[in-house]
Amino acid sequence: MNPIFLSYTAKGRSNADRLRTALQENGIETWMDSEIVPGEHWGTTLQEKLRDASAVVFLIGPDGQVSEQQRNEATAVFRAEWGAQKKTPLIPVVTSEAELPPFLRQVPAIEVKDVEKGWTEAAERIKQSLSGAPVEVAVPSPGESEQKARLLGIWEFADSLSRSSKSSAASGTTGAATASGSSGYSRASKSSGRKS
Amino acid sequence: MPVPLFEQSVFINCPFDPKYQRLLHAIVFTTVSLGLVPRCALETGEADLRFQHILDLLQKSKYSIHDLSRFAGEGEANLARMNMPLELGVAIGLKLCRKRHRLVVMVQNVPEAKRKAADYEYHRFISDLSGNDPLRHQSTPQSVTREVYSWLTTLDEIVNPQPSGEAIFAAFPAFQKNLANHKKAALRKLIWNDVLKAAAESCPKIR
Repeated sequence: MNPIFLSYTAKGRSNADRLRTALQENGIETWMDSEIVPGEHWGTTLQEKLRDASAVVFLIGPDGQVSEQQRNEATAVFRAEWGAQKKTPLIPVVTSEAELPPFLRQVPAIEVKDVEKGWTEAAERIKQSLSGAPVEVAVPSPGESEQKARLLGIWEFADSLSRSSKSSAASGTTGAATASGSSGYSRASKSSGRKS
Repeated sequence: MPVPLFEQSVFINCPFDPKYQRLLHAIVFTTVSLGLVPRCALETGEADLRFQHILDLLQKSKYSIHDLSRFAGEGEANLARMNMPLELGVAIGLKLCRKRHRLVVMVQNVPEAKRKAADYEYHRFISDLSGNDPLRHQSTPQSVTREVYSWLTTLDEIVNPQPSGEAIFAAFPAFQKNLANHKKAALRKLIWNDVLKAAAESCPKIR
């Protein structure tokens, strides 16, 4: 099994080290960006390690926040698995009760209640989830209705733009829907479209 | 008039010429499919000045996507397009000052054969981006969908659950067809509102 990629925030570094030790005691190899040596290209190395990882553990910081770097790492995972048969498991590990972003809601988060002693149990649960045990969706999904409402909202917003440009055109204040040179579009407003 | 939420608004800074149109459509379609609202300079605005309009939209958007693919000089005068770097600068200012703006830069990928020699070509025209590796596409709707999806899907405000990136790209031809129908019905060139409507009508539904 390839090493697990351990993703952590700067504030959660000490917790990451504890989890890493616990995982190693369970026979699970890990990789952290602290292993990058001088001369290695940071971005390229991260991409390679994420691509090859058997799973990515997201250790959520003590403040409950997912860092921008962690989001960038998730972006790299999603890009790498585009069209691939195998999806890389993303496993959130939390030390506080915080709402996780949607991309981390695919599996139940592993909660560490005792940040001094709870890492062994967390490592065992990670090992269990990697063994192929069935997982449940952690958060009840609002599902189709939320998507429907959002799409309707976007459609209505677009429609209101059409109506406001038509009424402005009628009052002679804008040049609604006029052609704009070599642009692929007309722009329903005063100023002309741009090429770039 | 319904106003999109700041948290769900994504400002798009990219070329608007016909050659780029399908890529812009891919950005818009992916954004809408994830339940977010694309905003861009093509949108109707109240401001008299174009740049004021852009500033207004950027301030109303928590997120922004900037495609700097057209960094090279063009035409007889060999001029590069400066509007997009200018708008990127404003977005970076918002990010640093307000701490509530997140942005991503896209560039066209360096072909495999040239990868060793110029892997990070963008460093040569915008070296201050170092440390923020841009998304790289191959100027195809599929690669743009992949990159934009991979970034947007890590945001907190996307619709949950969300369609997969593959499902979004699979629905892209239907979106293009729907756009053509809008154009035919309107008897004019497409306007931004048509694109938004067609995207909202065509995105893959979550079952």
